[in-house]
Amino acid sequence: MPNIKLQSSDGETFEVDVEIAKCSVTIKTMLEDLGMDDEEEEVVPLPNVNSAILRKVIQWATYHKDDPPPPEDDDNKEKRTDDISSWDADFLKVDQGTLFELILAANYLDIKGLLDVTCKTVANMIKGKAPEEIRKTFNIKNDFTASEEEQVRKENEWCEEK
Amino acid sequence: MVESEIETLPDEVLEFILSLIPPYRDLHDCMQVSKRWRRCVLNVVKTKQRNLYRAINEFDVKWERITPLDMAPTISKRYSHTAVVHDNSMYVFGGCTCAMTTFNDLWRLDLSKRQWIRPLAMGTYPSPKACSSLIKHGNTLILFGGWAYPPSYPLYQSWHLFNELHVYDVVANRWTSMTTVNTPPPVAGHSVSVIGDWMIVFGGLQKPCNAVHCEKSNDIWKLHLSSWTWFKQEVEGGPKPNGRFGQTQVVLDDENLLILGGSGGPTFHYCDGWLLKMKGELWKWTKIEILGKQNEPSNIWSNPGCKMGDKIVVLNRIREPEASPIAYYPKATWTMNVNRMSPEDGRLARIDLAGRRTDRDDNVNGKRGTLRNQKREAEEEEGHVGAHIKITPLPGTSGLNMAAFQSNDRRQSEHAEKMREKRLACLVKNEEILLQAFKKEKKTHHLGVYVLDIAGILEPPHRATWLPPKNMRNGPEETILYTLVEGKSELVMFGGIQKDANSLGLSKNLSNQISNSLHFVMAPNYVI
Repeated sequence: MPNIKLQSSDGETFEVDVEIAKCSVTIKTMLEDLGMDDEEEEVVPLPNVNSAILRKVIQWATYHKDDPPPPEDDDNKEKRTDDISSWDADFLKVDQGTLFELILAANYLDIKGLLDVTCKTVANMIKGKAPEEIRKTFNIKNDFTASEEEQVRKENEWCEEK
Repeated sequence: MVESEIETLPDEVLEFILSLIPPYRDLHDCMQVSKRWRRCVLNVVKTKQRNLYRAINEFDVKWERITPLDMAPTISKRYSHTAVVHDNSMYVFGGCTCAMTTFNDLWRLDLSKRQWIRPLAMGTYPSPKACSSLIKHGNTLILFGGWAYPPSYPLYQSWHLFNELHVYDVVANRWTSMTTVNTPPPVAGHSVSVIGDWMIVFGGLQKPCNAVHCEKSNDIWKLHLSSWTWFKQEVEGGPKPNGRFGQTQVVLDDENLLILGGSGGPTFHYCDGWLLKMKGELWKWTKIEILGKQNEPSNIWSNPGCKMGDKIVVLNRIREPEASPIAYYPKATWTMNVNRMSPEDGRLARIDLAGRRTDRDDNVNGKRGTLRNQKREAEEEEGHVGAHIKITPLPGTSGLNMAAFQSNDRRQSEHAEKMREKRLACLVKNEEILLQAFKKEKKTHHLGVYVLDIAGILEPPHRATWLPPKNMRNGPEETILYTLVEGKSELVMFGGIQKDANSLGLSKNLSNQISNSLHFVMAPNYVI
């Protein structure tokens, strides 16, 4: 198996199986577009991902390398936010900072599966919480005035475009 | 380095996260977090709505099903019930069982948690009934009409129809029986709409006072919802719809209603459309010109329609008979078929056959002394021949072959185990082939989406068009007398009865044909 070298923003290099690296659509396109030869000992720089996150991403991609591609239309399967596999759930037991950096990395590297599962994890943290609890959980500043907030509370987001 | 926070995520990612939040209370709560979150929620809502409309338009919908868990409190199976969405819940009232026993229970489905809750209401309960109407007005639900089947004695009683009116206060969780000024005759299978302070009732099966038999009505009654006064609304002369029940009625705007389909009796089903202009002293009916007749669903009286934007969605049997080879719920079909075969003639017997080699075909056939139709019987026999052939060369059937293994007991048992597993697998495979053949023979029909385009229906020449179906996605097995209501960016179908219940001789248990499943019609997931 040919390997490829990925370099994180802080300069650390990771040697990864090309097939694993290609689960990132960004890297895959890069390799294809640049016609990078597998033989060449080229290093792919990833300036948006630091080594700690890149290590996690590679760990995730290695574990999932044999996953079947997501079916185009899985009519039967109910898409719910609670269908996170136990391995993924364990893998994502990290602090919020890491979780959001993973999301940013998954978004930047275009790894659909990782983006999906990380965002579901965040969605699960949001579900069932009152606005104030959400703010507290994620350290968000409330920029509504009291009267604005009251107005939004009464607003029906579904009525506009009917 | 600054630690990443949710606020550092780009809008598109935050919107993706928000799109995973159930679009009911949870999403509304998100909107109150901050200005940015509100903006993102509004975008998500817009996208979800647009996606659903586009999915409907292109017949590219996704079906989701929820079968209630055994342990959770769950609404019982029923059909001819009535349902309405209020706030973040769907309320279901009444309906009946396969024995036509009617209910007067009220259930609430929490649409975000997908959980059934039975609010134990106070006050004066309505009678147990089916084919009544439940509609939302402010924070109340208004229940009117319906029928109940009389007990079997005394004989020759006709259905009992109701004209009782109840109001359920959602906040106070209380039923109130309303006394009204003036009262329409008892009615069932009528259609209702609420416009402003009025509830408009059209048609239904009516029993005029003193009459013995029911009649199909085309009357319009309106109820003033603050003075609780009923008025019979007269219409201008000229063409008007025939009396009917089970029709779809939708509000087009404050002055216009649309009536679609309905039934005029056992052999008389309508697929016409009528516009009711509700203005002035006398209201006016106008017949709709319906185009795209070749795309029309065959049954729009026991399949309710639901308005979504400028379309009306109706579920109906998917037309082309060859269009349903891919079963939509393989698992469910499997379970159902297994249930249908009693244990002694089905799987258990054959697994036993695998375990005890002495028990051969003839014996097993002897055990299954049940009547089955011939075609299936024949197929079953074929299946057996296959199974038999594969069984014969196995060790243990011949003493000679076994001699080689007798010195090593462990090896032998391992080998036998292995072969048994193989044989089991082979049997299961045969079983599957059989079940599939059985299924084919049964000709399962599935529901698909039909769409009537009503854009511009208010302008002369008052036309509506059935859109040509593109890619029919299989829905649940064909069912009628369920309810179909619009939730938030989804359609909710609940309950009903599988149509060919009576014609299917194989079904021993009619209650299997009645459903308490929930099906959701939604747009396919979108990813960023």
